[in-house]
Amino acid sequence: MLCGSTRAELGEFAKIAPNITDTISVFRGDTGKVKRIGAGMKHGMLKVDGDVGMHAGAEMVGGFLCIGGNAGDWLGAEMRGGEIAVAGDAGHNVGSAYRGSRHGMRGGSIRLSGNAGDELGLLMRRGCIVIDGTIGEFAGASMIAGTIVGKKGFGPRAGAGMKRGTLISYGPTESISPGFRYCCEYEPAYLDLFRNQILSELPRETVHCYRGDVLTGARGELLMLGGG
Amino acid sequence: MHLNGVEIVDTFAEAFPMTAARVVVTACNPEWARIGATAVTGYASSVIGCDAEAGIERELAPAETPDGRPGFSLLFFAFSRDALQKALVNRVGQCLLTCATTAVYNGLEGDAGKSIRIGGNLRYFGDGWQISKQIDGKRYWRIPSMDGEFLCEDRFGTTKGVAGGNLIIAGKSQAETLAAAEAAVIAMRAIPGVLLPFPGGIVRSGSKVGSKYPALKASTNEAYCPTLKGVVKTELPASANAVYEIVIDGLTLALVEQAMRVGIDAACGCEGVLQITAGNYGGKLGPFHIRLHSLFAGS
Repeated sequence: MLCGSTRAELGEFAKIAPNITDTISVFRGDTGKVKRIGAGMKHGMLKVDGDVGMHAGAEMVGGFLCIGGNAGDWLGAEMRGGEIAVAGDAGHNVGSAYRGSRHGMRGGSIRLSGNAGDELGLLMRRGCIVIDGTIGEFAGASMIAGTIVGKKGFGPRAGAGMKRGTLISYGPTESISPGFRYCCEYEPAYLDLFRNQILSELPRETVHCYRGDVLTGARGELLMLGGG
Repeated sequence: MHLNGVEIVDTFAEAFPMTAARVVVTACNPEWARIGATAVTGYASSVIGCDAEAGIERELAPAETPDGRPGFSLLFFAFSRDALQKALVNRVGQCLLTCATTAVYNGLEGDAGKSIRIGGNLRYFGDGWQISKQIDGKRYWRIPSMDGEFLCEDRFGTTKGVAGGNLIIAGKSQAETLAAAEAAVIAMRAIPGVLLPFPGGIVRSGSKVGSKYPALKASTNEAYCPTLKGVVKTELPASANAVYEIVIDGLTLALVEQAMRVGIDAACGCEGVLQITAGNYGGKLGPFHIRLHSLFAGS
């Protein structure tokens, strides 16, 4: 591992015990500044009792990363599969594309019990992100496909420039991007499927459907439940 | 061999392989699900004249469907995967895409690498406004419609099923024979994975291969017509005045055999049944020969 710019053995910083099982690894202690925990993981389960630094679960393709505390920026950036669950908050660019990349998250799921920062799901192409808390600015910006659920709504300019994809909002959304147009109130069969297969707590209500961003073809959608 | 005084003829039903798929249709309430299910399985009694053999397998409770809405499980059989895909795309497109509030899902895991594309072909109706969604590794298509959207799974599993299982019930009167056939149908329809594709599960126009008219592939089986008993070489008992056939398709041979067994049992418990036999083509049509006596070998 790297400590600053110098290469070091992991054993210098941590006591490494045999795995509880072949597939479960557990991080304990102060890991709040440790970067790239679970990055690129392919299978198994990685459990972190505390906080994690930036890039946790970035580019992962499989397995389950369970974080008991908060996560830094770039959580699950460009991930292609697997599952991430975070008990606390996360920083900016959750599930996003790295600068210069064409695609963000391309599969898998991220579940955040706390709040998320800005540019959540930037250039996201596939997969599902569910945020229980609040969401910063520009969630789903330039999104290509996939689904983001904001249980307390979205921050300003959500979905700006999105080509396709779905934003599902439970709560009040501060302001809807000017590129979105109100279409109708209806009950999508897709949400019944989504509720039954993924998110059982999704309320069974009609949704207000907005389409956008009109600048990029208006193939994306913002579904606002109830009085969202 | 006799069961409850009914003669079971020592013959066999000749069955053949067909490609099968299971479709789950759901809607906002059971009534609309039933309307869709009935429409999409219409005109599908026999591949002699229809693109597929199809019917309702059973009604599904909301807890049994992928989207938690009321629905029906449907079975479809056709000669090949290509034929089945074509029939299903046409039928789902004309009868379920058009039906209020319906959604369509695959109901069969099927054989590996043998799936057919239904939603993936129907998506073009969305004219570019269709939306693809992947949930748990399965792709679904959301196609905008005038009542909201039509949701259809992309791929449906298929399996090599068995078609052409059959029973021929001969009785003293039309009423008694029909009652016996109805009892058999009720017993057979309780078995999941079994389809009785004809109206009410019963056929009154049993056919033979070919005809005196060269253009016809099939024609009435005069050997089983009571009204011709005196003038043709008949297969019927002297006192038989009505005959009904039950055709059985199943996802496996074992299911077809089980259905035939319970069907015979149920029919033999009815008044006025004289004889139960089965149709075959001398073993030239299909590889599965289901001997009626063998069905009761263990009992």
